[in-house]
Amino acid sequence: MKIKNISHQIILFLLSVTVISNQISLIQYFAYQQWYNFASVVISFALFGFGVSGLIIPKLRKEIAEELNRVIQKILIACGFFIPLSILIEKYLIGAFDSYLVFFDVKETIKFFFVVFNYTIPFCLLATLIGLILTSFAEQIGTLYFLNLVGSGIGGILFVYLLWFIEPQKIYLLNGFIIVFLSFVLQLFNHQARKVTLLVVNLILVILNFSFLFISIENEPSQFKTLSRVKNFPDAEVVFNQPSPYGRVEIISSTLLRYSPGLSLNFVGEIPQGEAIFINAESAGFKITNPIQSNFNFLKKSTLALPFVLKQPQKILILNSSGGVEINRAIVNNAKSIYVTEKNPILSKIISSQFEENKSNEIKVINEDPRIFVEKSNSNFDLIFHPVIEPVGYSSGLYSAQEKFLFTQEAFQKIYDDLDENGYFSISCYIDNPLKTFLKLLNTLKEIKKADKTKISRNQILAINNWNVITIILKKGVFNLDEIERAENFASENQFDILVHPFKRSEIKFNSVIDSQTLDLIENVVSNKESKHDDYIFNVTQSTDDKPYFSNFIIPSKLKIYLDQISLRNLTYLEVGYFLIWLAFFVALVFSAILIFLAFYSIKLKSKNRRFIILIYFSSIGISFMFIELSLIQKFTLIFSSDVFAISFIISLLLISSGIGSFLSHKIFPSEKRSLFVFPIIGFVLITFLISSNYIVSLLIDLDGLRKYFVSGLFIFPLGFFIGMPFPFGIRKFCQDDENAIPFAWAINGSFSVLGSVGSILLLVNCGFNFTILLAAMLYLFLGFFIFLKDYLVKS
Amino acid sequence: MKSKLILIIIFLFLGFDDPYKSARERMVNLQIKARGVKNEFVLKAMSKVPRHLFVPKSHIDEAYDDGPVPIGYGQTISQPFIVAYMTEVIDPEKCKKVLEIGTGSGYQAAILAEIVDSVFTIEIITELYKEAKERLEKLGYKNIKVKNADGYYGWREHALFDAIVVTAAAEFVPPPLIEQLKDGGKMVIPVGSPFYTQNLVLIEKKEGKIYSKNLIPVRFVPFIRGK
Repeated sequence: MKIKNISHQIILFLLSVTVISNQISLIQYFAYQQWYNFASVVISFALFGFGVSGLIIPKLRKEIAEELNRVIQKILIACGFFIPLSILIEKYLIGAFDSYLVFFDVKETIKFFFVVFNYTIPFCLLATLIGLILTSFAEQIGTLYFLNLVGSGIGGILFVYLLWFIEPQKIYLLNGFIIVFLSFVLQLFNHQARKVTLLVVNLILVILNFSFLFISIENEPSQFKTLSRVKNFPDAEVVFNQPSPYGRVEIISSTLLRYSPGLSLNFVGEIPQGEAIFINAESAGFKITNPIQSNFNFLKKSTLALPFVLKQPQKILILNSSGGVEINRAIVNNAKSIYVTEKNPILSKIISSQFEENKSNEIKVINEDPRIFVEKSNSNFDLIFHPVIEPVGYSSGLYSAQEKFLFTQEAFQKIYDDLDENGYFSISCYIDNPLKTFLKLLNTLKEIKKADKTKISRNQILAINNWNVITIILKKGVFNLDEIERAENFASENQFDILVHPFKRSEIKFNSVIDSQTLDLIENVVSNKESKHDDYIFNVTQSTDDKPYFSNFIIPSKLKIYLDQISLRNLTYLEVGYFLIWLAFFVALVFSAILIFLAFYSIKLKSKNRRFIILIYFSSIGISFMFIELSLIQKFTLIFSSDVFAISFIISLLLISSGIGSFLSHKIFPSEKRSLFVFPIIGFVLITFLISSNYIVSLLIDLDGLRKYFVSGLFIFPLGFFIGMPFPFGIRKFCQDDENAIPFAWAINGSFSVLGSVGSILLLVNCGFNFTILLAAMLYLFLGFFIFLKDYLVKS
Repeated sequence: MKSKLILIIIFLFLGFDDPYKSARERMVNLQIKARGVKNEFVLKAMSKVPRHLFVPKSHIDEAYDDGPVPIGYGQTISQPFIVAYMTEVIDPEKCKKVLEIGTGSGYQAAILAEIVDSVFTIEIITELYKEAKERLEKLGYKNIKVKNADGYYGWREHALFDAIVVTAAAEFVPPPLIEQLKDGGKMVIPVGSPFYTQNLVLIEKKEGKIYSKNLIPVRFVPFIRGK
């Protein structure tokens, strides 16, 4: 039996499944290894693969004409070889790069390049196969493009589910097995490709890939991640380990583990030992080992105990469980009802079981993202408490591209609204130097609007600090003298300082950890003085849902000032994460430039003019598609409370809907003239989406479970449906009478999508969601106008 | 390779038994003195201790560079300036007994040992402890005692200490360390990550009260007034 069209369709579908699942598994793989998931970089690997395939296909034209099936067979075998090989090369030859050291050690920078290159090879092969099938059966482009995108969509959904049971690196290897197995089965039924040597090679690869599924290939986190450091303790023992789409949850037990942020320097006594909880190798909380035998006095001698000193809160909401230690703090301070939000279902169960036997307090652990919980909540609390947020100084800004929707102006407004009359919102942070986190928190709090629409006033804010932690309290109401007296006594007893006093300028007695100029700035912020940040070289203004990058403090226009003050060997104050995106963009730029050069050099078209038109057209749709995809991922990270869910849902749904759009494109717009309408339609849909995005987000946040996914799909589908049309439209319009035009367009589209992918992250971090979507809309409108103008000029 | 070998032989023949001496002098002049470290005891110690013997062989070329060097296990040997500055702020010439939490490679302990009577240093990672102990013994430091233990408890048998140097960033200061610090004693703690130390905090015990102070080693001005 020869491979007929139907077989090509099956191959195409399965290849598309593996392309997307490879991306998702690598995103999770890097999230564990590094400080960031590198989603845009991984998407770039795949897109670069598609670009390269555009260059390879014309070179294979002779072989394809002679024997397409054998070419497919060989590339399938190569895929089955390179997928496991890429993991092995990274693990045993190149070694994982360390984003912590990328700017410090040139070897790490080179490794970063090699790792990108290494993982791009399997994507190149997969994309070449997809491209081969698409170009060999160009007359069925609609059906094939549809199968390509639907396969990708299904792959995304299916493999995210598998992340509950299988490590991401195993999913990646499973894809290798699927491909060689597919190749083997096809070879058995394909007389032409049934050569003994090929068959033997294929069989060996099937066996090898199958055995890789059972060999332990560990993904090691950076030696500087907290988990690695804790594992170095002599008695460290992993007592719990479970993969999940939210990241791998691990619990480490060691007699050396203790946790007491904000502790008074004059505290004398025991600090109980415990177990540290990690998600994706990063600290996610602390669990006291023997709570019954432990003395919890230390929890009262911390800056974090301040809200309990001011009054006796009855109903408390703890945002982020932090492993349970903050529940202990609430219990020891006699709180009656304690609500705790924890978005990770595994962690949520662990915390619940810790307090199962506690009957004297009402403790409810709610498996919900804290931001979603406050958005949906109708009840009011005496105290809303957030534990110490990440130690910013420690992470060196590696979280700067991470969306943090709990620390935005909109989130703080909702938290304030959920407070009871005279209730407190308490949040703590580490003191970084120069001070950034606290200033950003303060500015965000100051943006909250009261019921009468006026801004928060100074007499509602109180902050105390020890040598390295600041606790801020915002009161829904004005602090009274009794509260001030309690705070002053508490501070003096524990040798804390009142950093923000509701009624007067602070006086530092014990902890001179913030310089006088910064103290002046704090004073200006709390007393609403104008031009308060003009002189400050970091961005400490509030983050918003549009730009939820709380940990990014860089102002791009002030880059020279940072560099003037720092030598390259000592990037003391630079936010590494931000510059890592630039480095990724630079890598993408180099790869894209090579690809574009090769495309121009090696693919000859019948007309030079057409080359230019294809370049303009396919680069624009490549870039704008990525702007939309990455922007939606950012927005839906808030809605689904998980980056992996948002990434897989958006990629999958956009591909499915744009697949359907491309399939139906020539039926909906049969004539070339009518097809032009698709561009203003896309512009209109995007701008409508932009205008109504706040409403859409609040509507979707309120929904639960599958309904949330279903309704989200209803909003995304029309967008994807229309943005799927310009690609087949362009192929029909510009490529049909030149056999080299499709691969050329394919290469241009791929290489600009690579740039668009990382470029959109830069745009999102610097300019926000609204700007990026608006830019995409403008690009589509420009294209419509460009084609109209070109056709008009040709006619006239 | 050959020419390097010849150079080393010439150096040895001429009596230059330490080919890294000039690198060390440059380090002291350009990285330490130039940034304001003035204490003569510290400068002398920094000029004397062979830093290249404290870094892994694979990083020996970077030993005298202006930056930290990884020593494995997620640990580093601090940037030379940070070591000098941490030593200077505890007024080592006035100290008899110093406790160090986090031996690492042993370099900071060696610098302290050049100035004070006795250094007590604790390392939790067994491999690092063994390497550092052997290295310090080989170099003949008789006034350094190394222990493989949890730094949280300090070293009660030898308390009280004139100064405590904590070499790894800490979320909180263990109460036993405060107890083991003499009245009038100083404790210094780095704040930040191993490769990106942002500042140092000095903790002082005066008449039973504890005071903390931020020391910004590399003055970074976050304000741009007048621009």
